[in-house]
Amino acid sequence: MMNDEYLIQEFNAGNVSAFNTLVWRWEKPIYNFILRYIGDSEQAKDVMQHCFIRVFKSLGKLKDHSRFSSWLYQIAMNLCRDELKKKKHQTYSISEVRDFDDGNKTDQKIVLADKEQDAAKLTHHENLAELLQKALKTIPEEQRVVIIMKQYHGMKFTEIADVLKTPLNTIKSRMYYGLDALHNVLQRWGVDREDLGYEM
Amino acid sequence: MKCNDYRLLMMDALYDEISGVDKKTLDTHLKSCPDCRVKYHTLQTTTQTLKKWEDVEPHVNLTFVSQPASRIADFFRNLKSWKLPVRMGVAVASLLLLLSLFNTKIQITDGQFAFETSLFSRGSQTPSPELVTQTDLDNMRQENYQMVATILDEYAKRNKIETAVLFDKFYDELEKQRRTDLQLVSNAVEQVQYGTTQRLQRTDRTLGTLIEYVNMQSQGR
Repeated sequence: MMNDEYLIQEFNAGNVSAFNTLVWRWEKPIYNFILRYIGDSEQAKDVMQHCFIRVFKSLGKLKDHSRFSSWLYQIAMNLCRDELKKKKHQTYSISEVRDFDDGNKTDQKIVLADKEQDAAKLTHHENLAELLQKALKTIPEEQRVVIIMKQYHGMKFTEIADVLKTPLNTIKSRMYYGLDALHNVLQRWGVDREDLGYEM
Repeated sequence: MKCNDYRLLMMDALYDEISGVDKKTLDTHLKSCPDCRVKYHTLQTTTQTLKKWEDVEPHVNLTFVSQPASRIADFFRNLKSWKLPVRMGVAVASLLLLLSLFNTKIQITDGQFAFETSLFSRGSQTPSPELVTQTDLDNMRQENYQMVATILDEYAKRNKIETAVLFDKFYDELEKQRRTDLQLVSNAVEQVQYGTTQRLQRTDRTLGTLIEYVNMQSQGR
């Protein structure tokens, strides 16, 4: 079995096929990481390509090959942040949701910053991924990235702390508050487990 | 421990990263604290909800191919990773190199190759043949005349000096010769004097002998 470290060595020795094997191995997790982070599939594809191009250019500088996955996620995360800075005006925030929620307490079942979305229509027509994507967008970025890394990429809390260069307890704390915020958002939108089970 | 202190343990427990001891501590607290029990349950529910969001295929065909190495491209790519002092050093070196290239003069005249460079432009440079005017030619001629005159002056001065040196040498030789001659004359005079003295003494002796003989003859008669 060719592990990442072996493939990196091969690539550094001039074997480009080894890099393509790395891409083939990591493109799906990285794509899904980026997709969940920025929430747009087309942008996610572009960012993923930039990510692997950057990896291709700078893999030779990576000294500790065992840290490849952490390094890869770091690059992906930085590119996502750059992308989000460009699209800052399109993101949803808790305050936006709260403000809108406060003004429509008796009205809608699901409240989003995007006011053109009809709550009932959303519940019935958007799939679970889109719903959770919108929910993730409502929580602070620093909590969202921890949830994505932990929940969808099975990273240990220590690994996340390493990637984000943040103390371990801070990571766990962000996870706690992120999950709590997500729960509140989903609850406000009237999404419960049964609904989700039905959607699936 | 307060309820807030169990949040981190809840996170560890949710993702099976909790130790046996901490698990027991958390379980004990959850049994005794309804609020935390509810909170832990909602966290579990949320994670279960999130789990239902499955990964999707990117449907992107990313294939990298090897390209011929470009040293210049690599240089500029690596430049970004250099530290500021190194970058500044390279920039200064490049500037100096550029300046020296701008102020480099290469000449091939009659098979003679000449190469000259400097950081800054030279104040007076030999004009190119195309730029020589009549005034320049006159100036050059005047300079040549002055140069020839100077050379002749120098030659004359040198000749004078050489002549003076020759006279000095000649005088010295004459003086030496004179002294030698005087010495010889002196020796000769001494010799003559000595010979004369000898002859006078001999004459005296002969005359004495003759006188004695004459006296003896006169006594014998």
